[in-house]
Amino acid sequence: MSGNGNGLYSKALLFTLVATITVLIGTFVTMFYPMMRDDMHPKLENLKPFTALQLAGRDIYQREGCMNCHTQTVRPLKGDVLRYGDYSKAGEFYYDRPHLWGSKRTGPDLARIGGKYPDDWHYQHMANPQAFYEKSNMPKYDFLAKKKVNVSQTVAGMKTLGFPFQPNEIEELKNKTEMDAIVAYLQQLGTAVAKKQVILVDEKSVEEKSPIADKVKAVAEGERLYKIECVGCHGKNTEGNIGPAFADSARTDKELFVLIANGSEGAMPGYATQFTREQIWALVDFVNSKKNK
Amino acid sequence: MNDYQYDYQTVKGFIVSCLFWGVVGLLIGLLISAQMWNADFNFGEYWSFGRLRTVHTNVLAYGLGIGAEFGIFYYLVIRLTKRPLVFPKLARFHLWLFNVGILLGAWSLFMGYTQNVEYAEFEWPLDIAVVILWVIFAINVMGTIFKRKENEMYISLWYIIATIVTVAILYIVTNLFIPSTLTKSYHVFAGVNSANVAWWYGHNAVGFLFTTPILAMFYYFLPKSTGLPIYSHRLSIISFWALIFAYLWTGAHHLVYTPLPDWIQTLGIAFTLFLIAPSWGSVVNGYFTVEADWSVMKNKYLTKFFIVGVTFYGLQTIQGPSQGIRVISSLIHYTDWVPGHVHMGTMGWVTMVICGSIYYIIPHIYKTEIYSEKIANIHFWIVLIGQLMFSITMWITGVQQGAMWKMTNPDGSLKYTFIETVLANYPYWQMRTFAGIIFVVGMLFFLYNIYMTIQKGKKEAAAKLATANA
Amino acid sequence: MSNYNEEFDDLSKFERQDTKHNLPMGWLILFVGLIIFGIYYTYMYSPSFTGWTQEKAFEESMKK
Repeated sequence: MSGNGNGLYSKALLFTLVATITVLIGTFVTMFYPMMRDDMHPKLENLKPFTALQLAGRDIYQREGCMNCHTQTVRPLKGDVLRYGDYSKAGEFYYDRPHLWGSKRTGPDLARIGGKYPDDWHYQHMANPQAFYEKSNMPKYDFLAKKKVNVSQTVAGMKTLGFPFQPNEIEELKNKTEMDAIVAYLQQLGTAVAKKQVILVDEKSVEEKSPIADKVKAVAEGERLYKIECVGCHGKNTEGNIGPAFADSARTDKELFVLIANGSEGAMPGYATQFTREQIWALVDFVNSKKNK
Repeated sequence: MNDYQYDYQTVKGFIVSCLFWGVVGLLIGLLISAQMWNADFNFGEYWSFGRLRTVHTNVLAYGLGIGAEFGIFYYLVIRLTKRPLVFPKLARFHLWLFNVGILLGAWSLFMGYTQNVEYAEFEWPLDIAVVILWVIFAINVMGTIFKRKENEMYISLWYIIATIVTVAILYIVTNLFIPSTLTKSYHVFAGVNSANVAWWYGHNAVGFLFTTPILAMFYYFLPKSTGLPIYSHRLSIISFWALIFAYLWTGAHHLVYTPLPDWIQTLGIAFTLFLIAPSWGSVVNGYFTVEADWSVMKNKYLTKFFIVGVTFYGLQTIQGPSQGIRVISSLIHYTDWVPGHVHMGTMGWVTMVICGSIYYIIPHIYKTEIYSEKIANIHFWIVLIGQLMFSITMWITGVQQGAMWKMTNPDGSLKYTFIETVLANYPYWQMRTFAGIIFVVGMLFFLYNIYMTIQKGKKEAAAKLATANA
Repeated sequence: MSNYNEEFDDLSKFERQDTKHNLPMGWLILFVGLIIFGIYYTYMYSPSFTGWTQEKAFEESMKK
């Protein structure tokens, strides 16, 4: 027995009590107390509860463990905001039970994915990511298109969460696949906040004709970039898919530049935050090289 | 012959079970590490990364980690309290329930039944089972401690008590989910609040499942395996209270630069940095203990498992807190740096100390000597190399990833597209798979050694019995 | 106690008596230093003390 007169270590009950209080202090200050404050429960005015289809999609997002590779929070950091859009606001997550912020970006953040691409992009990309990015490590989710939405589970979820829904919404749900649901979920992510592309090109500043002199080099550089980022929508050989084929493009240099740089709402994301002006002109030259002469 | 034999059946059962789950978890780990650099390693719905990653973390954390803790604690507690468990039959039931629980848990995650709170993925019916499991464990261990035959509670018992109490609070609060069906539920907490609760849990689950229990083993098996007494009782006391006090404030360092209110983040970071002190209290205590006679590092093969283990604990607890600081977080958060960090802790500290403890316990309860110290040494060096390779490649690629994400061209546009930042990881991810294979090979040496020691013990016991009967 | 058929751990052998009350000076400096730094850090980065917020820091960084 090495009893040293300090009673705490020979009184198990007292020790347990003191230890419990010790761990509860930090728990109270950083976890319970914030819960009682309003700034932990904010809600943006135009944030809407999930529709039945969106909730079904969210359940699938959870089931497939998407958050193991994708975060859903854009940090107020220059790099994040350039790449993904405006940083996340506390009021955007009012209906998220649980939060799906995630902890790892093996794939890109999805907090602002809603509306970035057209629906078709998601349908095709989910089914076969490698058609968009050849060496992408994202698994294929083509099986979602073959499975019907679990209607009874979704209805139970809507009721548990107290989200409003119409009977016809549930009727429609019966004909939806899981792919429809997850795309509906993804397409509303982050849409309660106005879209913000940090770098937008002012049309007036754009030359009428591609100013790059060395066309051969420009076309090669354009092709390199095209292969990294554009094949999914415009096809391996620019034959067109979700986006148009280049052969029949009637756009002028300037129009092409502005389209690539600033994007087109609901059809194509803008690349001004991703590519330099020279790179965008190189892409324009590459498009031109594929046009029917 | 004897009035009473210490009941080591449960201890053995837990050790064998945890090793089994360890193998399962490690193999899944290898598969998902390959999925990271080649999507063709995803096989349909059930064998895809999104589901398997949680199977990997849960099976290793709960199957290997907690399984080992249950077994080792049942061994520790009866020896430190100088009495048998109060409810030995309940402990047998605990073992049985544990294995069924892990099996059902792994199966449910394959099926995609998940709450999506990291390390609290099990759906609500399993949560109830986990609570029952923990209560059984608590009743048995706390009951034995309360009815102990030794006046003083040794340091290891402090850490065990803190573990039991804190994990109970953490698990119950975080798993407050409202069920909608048998396999689906929604968090009571929403949005920012849900995130705050989840990481208060997430970080402290690490703290109270992989720090305090492992320290309990460390403080017991270091003196036992070296024959050297712990250097400073006072340092043990301060470290213990400072550690369990500070840990609960730190969850928000997982949420740096999220919409969580700034003051919670700041408090989280400040307390995280402070944690270096109590963590290093144990590290220093370990070093000073062995300083009395460094020759034990050479003479007693087990010493290095604990000293190298605690060294990785020390490194882990410097790296971890520095990751919390805003400027470093902004670079490495969400990158592969973090898995590198985690695996230094789990492979270098937790598994190392658990292996050392099992090496000590198994020969002891089978009343024999270790089958081969040489194999134990080979095991040690192989897992060490595997773990270092794993962590270092992940740190390199993590920093590279973080830098590529934010690098801009002179005109302010981003230098790299996202897919380019992903592809740049591939060589490192391939190296990580290789490192993982090395680690698993090392663990196979360990399993073989333990298996042979058990066989040896059984043979010797049979021989003894035969001579006694002759 | 022999009826347990088990050698017991002698608690007094677990801890050194001669250095029982020692606290290494370097460690003590670390301990106190981290408390002081923690207070300083909490003060500097709490909106209610210095007005620092991550939004403001972000706006600053975008001006560069």
